[in-house]
Amino acid sequence: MLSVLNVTKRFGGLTALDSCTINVEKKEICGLIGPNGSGKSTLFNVITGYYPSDNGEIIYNETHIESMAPYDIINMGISRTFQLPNLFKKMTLMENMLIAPKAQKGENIWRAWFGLGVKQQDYDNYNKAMDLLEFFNLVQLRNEYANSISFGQQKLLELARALMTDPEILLLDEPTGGINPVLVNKIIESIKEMRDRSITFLIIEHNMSVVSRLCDRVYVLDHGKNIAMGTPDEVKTNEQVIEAYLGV
Amino acid sequence: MLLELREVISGYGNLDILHGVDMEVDNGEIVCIIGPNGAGKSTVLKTIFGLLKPKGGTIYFAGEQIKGIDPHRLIRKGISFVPQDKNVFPSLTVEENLAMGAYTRPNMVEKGKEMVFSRFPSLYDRRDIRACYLSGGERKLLAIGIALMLEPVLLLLDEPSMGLSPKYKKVLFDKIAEINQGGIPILIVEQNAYKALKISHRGYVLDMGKNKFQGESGELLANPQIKKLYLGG
Repeated sequence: MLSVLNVTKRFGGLTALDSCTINVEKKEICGLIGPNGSGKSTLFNVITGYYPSDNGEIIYNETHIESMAPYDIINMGISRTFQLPNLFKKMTLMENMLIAPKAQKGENIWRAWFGLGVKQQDYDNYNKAMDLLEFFNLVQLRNEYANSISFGQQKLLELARALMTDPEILLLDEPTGGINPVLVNKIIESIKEMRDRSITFLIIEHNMSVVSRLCDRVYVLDHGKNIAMGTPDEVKTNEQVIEAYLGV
Repeated sequence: MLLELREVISGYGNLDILHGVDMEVDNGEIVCIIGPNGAGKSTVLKTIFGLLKPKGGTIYFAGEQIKGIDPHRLIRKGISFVPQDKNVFPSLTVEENLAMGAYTRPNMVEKGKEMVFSRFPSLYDRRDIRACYLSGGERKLLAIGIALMLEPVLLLLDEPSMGLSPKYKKVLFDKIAEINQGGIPILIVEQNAYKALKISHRGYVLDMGKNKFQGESGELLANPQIKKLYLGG
């Protein structure tokens, strides 16, 4: 479904991604782990068009996307979250949610003027937003500004907002970092459930128990290079991974 | 008692987050705050450090009321705070970042740097590198290093382990325990509740801006209700 082939990305003298290759299958929950600074978030930024890659190919559903802009890539069904929440801070939680859905009819001046289907779509989006906010325990806060909620809650809001776009594949950058363990369990369950409804996941995660419970396969990066790939159990016993990442 | 919060009410603008929180930290202790997202854990630290002005209650530090005092004056009294993010100057080198930590007392810069480098040798190797080029783990150590520059009497840490690889998490928790054994009491907020409670002496569970449980770390870890409600079983 998503193939990253020999992608290289340099920042000045620093090679953040060094001929990195990953393949994500449809309906898979694929993990991406590696030491801090190994290029995981850079890979997300390259896939979603935030940074142009220096070399290599990125193919999504048989289309080359390596030179596409972020707004075109999200329209193809690739959505993401950030390690540090990237929200509209002076908008309320609900407004953050409602700005996310693609192809809103009210954005067209004629439809907005004559109200063709706008109301119904807005109503559906609102209900969907309410359901998601409810799930992440944010519903009471829906009329607060995004910068007034806690860091963990901002991460949850970002995840909820990404789900508003009906993605085919969701790239999550540390979805459980800074989240209370009880809610982590709930997020794991919901990701599995979404997978059963045929959403594909690529997830950066440092919490190995989450990786083990969630991921079908895991890629390990170190210094921008692939060092291992396999099931969570295989990867956990790999000498090189223990040395670079897990520690003894 | 080194730090004592009584009935503290605090929040952002009109939104109250803490509804009467009590908390204590004694000399020599690591005290850990856990709880759900939005419970008010970070708000407690920000209120102690004067970034938020409490609407009610009292905060005593070393016998002195510090409620409403500005952060730059609290630093001089010996309280250091490491925030969750934006805790280093990205365009400055490691060494320059540390110097900034002792900005209020220039005569302590050299001594402080020596102490931090001996504690975190990996930072010494990278002293001329800009903070933006450090890995997440090293950046976290640097942020703690900056806070240690003035030899604080109390260290406040807001989710230090977030975003770190398993290997660095271990290193970090070991370092925190080590800093404490060196005589600095620490109040720490963590979602990595198991590991944080393991290195702490006591813990508080906050929920909806109120004290829910408190006790020795071992007791909290063994309590089935806390396990179910806050530690995820």
